[in-house]
Amino acid sequence: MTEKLLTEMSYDEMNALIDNYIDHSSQQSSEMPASAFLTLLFENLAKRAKQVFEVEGCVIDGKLVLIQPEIMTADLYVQNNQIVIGDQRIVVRLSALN
Amino acid sequence: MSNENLLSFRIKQGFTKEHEFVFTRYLQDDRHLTIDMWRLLYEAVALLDQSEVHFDQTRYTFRQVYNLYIDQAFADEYIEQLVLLPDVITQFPSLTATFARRIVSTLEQAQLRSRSIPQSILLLAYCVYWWQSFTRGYAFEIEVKRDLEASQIIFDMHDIRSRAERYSPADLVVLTLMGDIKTSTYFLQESSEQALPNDFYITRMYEQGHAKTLVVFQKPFAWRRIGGRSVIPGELENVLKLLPRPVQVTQANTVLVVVEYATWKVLVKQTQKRGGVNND
Repeated sequence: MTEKLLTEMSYDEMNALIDNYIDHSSQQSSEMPASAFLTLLFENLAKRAKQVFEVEGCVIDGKLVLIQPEIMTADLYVQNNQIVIGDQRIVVRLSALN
Repeated sequence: MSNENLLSFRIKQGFTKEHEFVFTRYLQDDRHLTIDMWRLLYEAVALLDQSEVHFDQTRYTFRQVYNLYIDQAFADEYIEQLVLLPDVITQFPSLTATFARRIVSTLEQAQLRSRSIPQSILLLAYCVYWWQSFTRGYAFEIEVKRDLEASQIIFDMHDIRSRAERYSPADLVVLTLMGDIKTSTYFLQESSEQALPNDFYITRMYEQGHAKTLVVFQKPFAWRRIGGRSVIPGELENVLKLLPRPVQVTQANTVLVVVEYATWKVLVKQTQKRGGVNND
């Protein structure tokens, strides 16, 4: 890390840096590589997924039956084809494939 | 009395020399940043968001200075001029640079820049950084909007000339699917506090050795909604190499399907034709 940091530059060096930045960043060409973008995107998504619940189920007599996961939480309740998370209710319906 | 006696900065604790190094490097040339550097850059900007400047007997965060002196002063005017450009791709860089230089002057005139206080350059650089991200993002959005119109895709889109609509949850709706149009860097900055709320995202990606590619990444149900079928599994490092075949990327519990924008448009158009299109 031998290059000068922003706050170590002279006033003229700072001005030149900002001026050059404006020139090159005004072009559309500033993008991060796809692999970096996807890596950071999935990292962000993983951070947001604070808790993951896996719900298993099976089809009995043509109807979906979900099973209450073993993990106990007041926010999650599963019954038949419905999952209740807090005040949200998810109803899963089976449909025939085209 | 000079303002320099009244101006002071408090850079958020945790902003290290490494953060400043990466920020400096980014401003000089962002083409050779590693993933770790990009990660540090976003941390640096987040810390600068919360850094403070004290002047006129008031304390402002850098974010508040940006909102007050830059966004509220220039954003509407910039967008008004941007939407009038006949060829946004070739003409927006000059417009963007003109506004960015006005921002530099504005901060200097507001006496928020001082020769004797080196930290004041961090505020200036922070404001220009956000401004450039903002302007590139909306130029890209107009580019895509015009292309969708030319391609006769039916869609509803927010009016970016309206400040309120710029903050709408989605940029556009296609076949009842909610979508966003973002440059990749702006996307990560904007979404840092949110989940992935929309169904699809139009962005531009590149990898060394590949031309820039417009892509759509989407949730699996959105892919099926436009009639998408088989996909091949991909890794973070090889998505662009696998295109134009639709690529499914799975990490932890998240699955996304990445396709070329051209492919996505064809499928959307076919679905709209089949279904007698509407976005209701």
